Amino acid sequence: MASVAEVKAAIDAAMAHVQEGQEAVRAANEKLGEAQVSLAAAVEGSGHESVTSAQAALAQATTELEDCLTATLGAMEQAQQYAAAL
Amino acid sequence: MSSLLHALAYRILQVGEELPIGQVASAADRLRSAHGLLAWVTQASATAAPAPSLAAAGEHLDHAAGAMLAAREALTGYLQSIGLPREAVAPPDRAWQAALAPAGPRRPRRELEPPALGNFWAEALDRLTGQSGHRPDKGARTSPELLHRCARAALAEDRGKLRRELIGAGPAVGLGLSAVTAAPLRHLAAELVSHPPRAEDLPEVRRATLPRVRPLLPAVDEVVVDELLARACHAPPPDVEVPVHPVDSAVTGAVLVAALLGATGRDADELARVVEELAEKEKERG
Repeated sequence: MASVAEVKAAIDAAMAHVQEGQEAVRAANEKLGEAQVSLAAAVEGSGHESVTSAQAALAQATTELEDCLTATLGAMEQAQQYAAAL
Repeated sequence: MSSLLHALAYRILQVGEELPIGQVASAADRLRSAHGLLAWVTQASATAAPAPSLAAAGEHLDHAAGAMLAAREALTGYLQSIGLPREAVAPPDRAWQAALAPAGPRRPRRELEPPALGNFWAEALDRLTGQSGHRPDKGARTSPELLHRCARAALAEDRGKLRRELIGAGPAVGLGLSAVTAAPLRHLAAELVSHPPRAEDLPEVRRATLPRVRPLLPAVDEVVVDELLARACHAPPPDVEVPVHPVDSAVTGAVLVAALLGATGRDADELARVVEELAEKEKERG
């Protein structure tokens, strides 16, 4: 069985990775927002099926990234509780 | 193609090209590292609290990447439908570049904790290197700096120095190696096989690295090497009964980077150039 200090150090290191992941997700979401604006400007007024599909897919990607952030926050809270219970 | 059509095609292609698939790959890379650590935590301890899980977050990232690829495909379809030839709009395959995306800005690592925390780290390094003796309490202050120092010691085949560098840096900086080695490992493996490494390249990469790892880390389980190389080659990971110890994974990753530097005829100082190349690729992708 590993020592409590060892396990806590691993949890801390894992959470540092999660925080870096969150930063990358936030940066991705920002770029995704810019891409949606650029696309809307480029195809203004087009009702083409492919354009609608692309816009729907980008909206879906935004939702998934937001849900990812929420899930990482939940995991961080779980990790804190887990470390406190050691 | 009319100039108007050309301008529209260019703008739409640009939207597709600038989708942040690289950042999502970076985020996935971080979550994979965290997941590995948490898997070990769950296996190594027993508490009544529910084990933290990143499975849901990882799934959302997968879905986000899938949706962006679908959007890119739909945009390609649109361009073809308005009269652009297929070859003019075929999206370049940049998945391998996405996988190379280096980490985002590094957070400053926490200062070393009390000696009790350092003991398990030093003990694990004594076990991995098969050596013991003086345990320095000062060393590299960041994981990239530690990776450079480890590469230098490993390429000099100086097992004692490798152990001292790792012990001196401490667990907080040392465990961070797992995050800074993934991108250089894949980049150097690509240099070795002259293309982005795939599952079928795994045996060649393994042959080039394992003989360089073994003398430095005589006690390391080969499954650790296999797991890290499989990740670098986008191959299925080996079946393991118990999760790999995070110290073994972090240290072996650093030694594998050195092994690939050696196998591709580079020295430790060229590691900085490799990191710069990765940063440049990231910049090009925006």
